[in-house]
Amino acid sequence: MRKEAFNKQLLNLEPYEGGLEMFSHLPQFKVPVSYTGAMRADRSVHPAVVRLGIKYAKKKILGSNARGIAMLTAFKIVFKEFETTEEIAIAFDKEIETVVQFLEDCRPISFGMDNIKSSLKSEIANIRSMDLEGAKEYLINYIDSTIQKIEQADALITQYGAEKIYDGDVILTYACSYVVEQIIVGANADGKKFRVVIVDSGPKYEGKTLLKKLLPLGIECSYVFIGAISYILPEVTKVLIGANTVASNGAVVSRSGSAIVAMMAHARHTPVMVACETYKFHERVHLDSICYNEVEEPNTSQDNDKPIPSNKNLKCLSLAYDVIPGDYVSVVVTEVGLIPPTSVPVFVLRDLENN
Amino acid sequence: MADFSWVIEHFDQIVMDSQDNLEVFGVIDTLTEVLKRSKAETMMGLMMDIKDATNLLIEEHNTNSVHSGSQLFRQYATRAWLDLEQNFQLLKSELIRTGEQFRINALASKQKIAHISSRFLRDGMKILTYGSSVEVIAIIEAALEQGKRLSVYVTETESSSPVYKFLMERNIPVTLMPISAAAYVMKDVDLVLVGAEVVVENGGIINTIGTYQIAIIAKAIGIPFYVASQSFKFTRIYPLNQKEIPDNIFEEHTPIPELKAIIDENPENAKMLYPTLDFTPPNYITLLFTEIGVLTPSAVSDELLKQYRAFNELAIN
Repeated sequence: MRKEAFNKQLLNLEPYEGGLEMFSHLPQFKVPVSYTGAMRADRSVHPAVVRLGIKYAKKKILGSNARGIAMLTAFKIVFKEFETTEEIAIAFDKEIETVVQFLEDCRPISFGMDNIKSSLKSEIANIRSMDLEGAKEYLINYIDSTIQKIEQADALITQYGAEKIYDGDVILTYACSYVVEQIIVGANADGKKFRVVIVDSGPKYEGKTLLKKLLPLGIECSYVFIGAISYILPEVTKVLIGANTVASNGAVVSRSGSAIVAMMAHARHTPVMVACETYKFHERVHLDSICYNEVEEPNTSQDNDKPIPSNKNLKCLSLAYDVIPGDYVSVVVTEVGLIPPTSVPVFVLRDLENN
Repeated sequence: MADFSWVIEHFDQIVMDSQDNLEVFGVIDTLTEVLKRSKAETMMGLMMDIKDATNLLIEEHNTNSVHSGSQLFRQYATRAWLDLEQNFQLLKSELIRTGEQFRINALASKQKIAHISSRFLRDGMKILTYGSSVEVIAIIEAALEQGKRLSVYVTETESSSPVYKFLMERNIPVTLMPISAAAYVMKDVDLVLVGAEVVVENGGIINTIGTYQIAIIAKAIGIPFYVASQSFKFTRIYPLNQKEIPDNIFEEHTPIPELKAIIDENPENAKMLYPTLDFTPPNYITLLFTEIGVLTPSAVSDELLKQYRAFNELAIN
């Protein structure tokens, strides 16, 4: 499978040499070199997409929501300027494939982005009989409405999530998630009196970003490293985390470290709420964190400028995600309301029917 | 606003008349009557009338059953509106017909539950029941008609009297015990069977205080815990802990004389906590017996999503 993926690649990038054999089946972090220079000669990619890919690779855009919307925005630019002499449906299909493949080469796309790509491709069926300008307009309108639906979904999730925060609650969250931040800000704006505990871990320390956003709003925050989580949990009433995706077996894929948080909370019968838009639900079944994941550059801490010295006896590992079994999740907060993790396949099946 | 002065009286009368004293019958019947008397000419007007009448009912009877019953009615109306392609006259007559059918259907569904789930009661079994549920009584009755011999453990609480009366009338061997003996007897019992006031989104239940305790004991000892409930009790609320039970009533309780004497000496210090409802999470429930079938707790949300068709309106794809 890796050979096939390699042949599809548009960019010739140096794979990271210090990786572990056990995780060699996963997409590896690639050493950044010039992105345009490394491009295969027979394909060309729109500059807007190249800029976006570089941002993804350099982790300038984080969070699968932000990445999804950025990808849709880039698609709009691409379609606006798209010219072709080929048959409309085939040309657009190829273009979508090219753009997504380039972004995948820069950094593996998230499941939400994969779903967006599938739905975009299924719209191709509707433009078959149109002329180029008509097809462009149709697809751009479709993208606009998709972006709008995602934003509306986020607004509803904020509302439903904020309703689940009561006066006196102590909400624990991990790292930094866009929807979680929105829910906390929303509950605070509703006048709820509650505390937030931010659990963080190296090397990225994403929790600091969330802390910087919440403190100016006057929200009472605590900040602990993940090793101290058993110390702080007796004070906590609810856990609230975001998700990259929720799989068909109810398993939640989230930032590496979330599984520990969820398991510890579950052991103390503390409810775990996961906030996730339904467009990110995926048909895959995740049984562990090893079958699907992403190997990242080790030691990408912003604070630590010293790279780990290379040593033939030393291998470094930094995985992007981990998997929370569905049993540890009390509720998934979606734009259609609160649902148990076991009901996720309902939405996946609906999408499979529609597509 | 139209004249709704008759609403509360009508509701109270229906609840009293109904064989099972179920509030949900009162709600559906009253709202159907509201429809019949409504002078509205549009869907909007009709829904406004329903909303106003519902608010009156909730003001007077702020219980889970009234909330879920009125929500059920409103949701059915919205769905029917879509199904009937927004034909107002057709909608009105359809809703009135369904409202009138509701009680008949509810009785039929009670019999269906009894028929499906009486198979779980085998000859010679010992059952522990808690609280009083018309569905549970129906199931035991059906099992008896099938010639099965059962013995039942009933707790000595006010809420158990209808069940106790039923069992005594049928000459079923019944053992009375305090709820504090639930763990003591659990190993001797073959299954636990309770009803529910309301079934929540994740398949958990809200029921008489004490149900959660018995569920925990049953799970710890490995005894199946079954809930019998008609599907109109499914609601879209999602409590995450005991404090999130909506409209839990806390009783004004008079303590036993021994303690009362001590309290009277120092009344400001005496805090009392007497909730009437508790929430049993789905992982303590083995199966739910409903007229749409025998369900696992996770199937409740599937059914609710189907009923509310939420995903159709808000789908991204």
